[in-house]
Amino acid sequence: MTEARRTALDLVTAGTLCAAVLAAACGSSVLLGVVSVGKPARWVLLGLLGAVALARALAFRSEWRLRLIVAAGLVVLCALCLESAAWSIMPHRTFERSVSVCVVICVSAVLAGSAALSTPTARRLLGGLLTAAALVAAAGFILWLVDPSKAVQAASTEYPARFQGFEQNPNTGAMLLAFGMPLAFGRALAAGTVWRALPFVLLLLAFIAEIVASGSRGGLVAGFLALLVVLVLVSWPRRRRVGAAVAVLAALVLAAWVVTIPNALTASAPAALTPPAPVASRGIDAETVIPLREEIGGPWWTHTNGAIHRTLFSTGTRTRAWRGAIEQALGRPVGGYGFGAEQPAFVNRYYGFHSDNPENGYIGLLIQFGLVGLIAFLTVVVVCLVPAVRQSVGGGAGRDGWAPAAVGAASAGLFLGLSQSYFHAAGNIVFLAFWVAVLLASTAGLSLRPKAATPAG
Amino acid sequence: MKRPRTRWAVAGLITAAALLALIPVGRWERDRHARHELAGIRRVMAAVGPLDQPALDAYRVGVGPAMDCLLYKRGSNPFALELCFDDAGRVIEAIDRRGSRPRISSIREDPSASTVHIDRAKALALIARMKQPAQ
Repeated sequence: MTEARRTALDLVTAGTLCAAVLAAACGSSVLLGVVSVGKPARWVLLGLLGAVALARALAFRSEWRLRLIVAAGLVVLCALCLESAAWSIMPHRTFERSVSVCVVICVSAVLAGSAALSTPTARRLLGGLLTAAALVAAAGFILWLVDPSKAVQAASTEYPARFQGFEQNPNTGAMLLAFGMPLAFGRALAAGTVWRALPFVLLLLAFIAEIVASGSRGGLVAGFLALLVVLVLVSWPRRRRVGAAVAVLAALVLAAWVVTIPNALTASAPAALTPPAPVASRGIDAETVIPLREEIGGPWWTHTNGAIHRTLFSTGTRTRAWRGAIEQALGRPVGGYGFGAEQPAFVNRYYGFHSDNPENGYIGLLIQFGLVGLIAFLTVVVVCLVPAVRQSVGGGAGRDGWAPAAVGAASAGLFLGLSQSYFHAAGNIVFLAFWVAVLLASTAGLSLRPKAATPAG
Repeated sequence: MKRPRTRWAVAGLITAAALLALIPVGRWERDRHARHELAGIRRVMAAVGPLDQPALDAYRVGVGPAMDCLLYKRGSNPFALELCFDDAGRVIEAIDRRGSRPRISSIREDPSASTVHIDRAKALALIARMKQPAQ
């Protein structure tokens, strides 16, 4: 009876988690009608998820566990977010962002605590996240069949055509799919038989195919590196793991090569170094010659024609923006400009860089709450991941197989942070999934050694 | 049993104190950054001299967070010095392009911190004059 109740509650919780991630995906969809529903729905579903998670935790409260050090770390991180409103350039925005982020972290902690002593619960929660990624992948594919012009971003002189699926940007959907890769891989490895593993292998291949089609280099690298993390942690003989790792790296190289196949449009005529435009008026409109958004590295300074040739390994424009963002962050190195104030603090002055944030979550955190906040964030994540890594390396992962997948998914989130700025955005497509994976990983040791657990509170 | 609890309590108190101490540090840092950027803006203003002068030869309208800008020529460089101001007449960004790379002083993320003002009506009149057709 208890098991049936647990299963029912778990399925409701995992289903709501899946729906909450889907709502976040809808909030950034390419379909405007879906966006208008998805944006408010993601907060409603987050609230619903919180209620369901609380109900699940209360129903089996004697089993709820969270390490005290993890809980303390989360409290400090949330306190830091909130208190940065005291010196923020936008106190109101900082407060709002902090509250939304803290709510997501709290909900994730309640969910993870429920899974601490229940392996099936952890697997079901990760299953909910994997289902969400699979549904987003399927929605993108269906949209491509129905209306390819919406599902594909047209080629430009800088980029080839890129698959964006259901999302409004090729990198957005790829984030969730990269996050789903280690989850599918972990399920395949834990399946036991080839036939049971097959659906997850196919799902993994579908994720890879869509990421490759999207041309998202950050997503591709994050997903494959996360697969390597899973392989490091899974309890296989060493030789088998090395063989699998070589296969993963070979697949990464192949996928990266495929990404380079489509070409950007060729510019009809090279944009010559623009001399001051013929002055029809008494003064020059400087925006036509040296736009503020292209001040750094622009043709006016470099005396080139300004053509940008993007290749698989070209990072020039992005690293230029990163350097500038770090310089900006070092203007207020200790406490930063305030949590959630990354966008107003970061000014895009970088030629060829098309974003209003630095496209790097760690630099984004450095801007928002300085070295103190960045170190606090990294410390909390490490403290959360260490138990799962320790358990997996110690051979414990072989018993249930979910910990390597959780660490892999969390790693994917961390790798994604190198190319995407999302650690401050509660409504982002992977934010909730990232924190659920991180906090599930933090409970890993507890599920095998309940006596060593420290009840929160 | 008592020791770990005491240790946690002490760690909690230290952390709380550190978090509280961060508030004055963050505010001091905010003010110091503003002072530093404003000093740079003042340097460019001093290099520009009076707003209305023959070297004024370019402008921007409605860029960034609703900024307008005046650009001054130095030598052969038509965009050597730039002053950008917001709708309250606060100078929130200044760029010195006389070297091999631009030197940017900006407080556009927090315009209210700017204490440097120009006569906005006069600046807009200068822009309007530059927009007129050349004779």
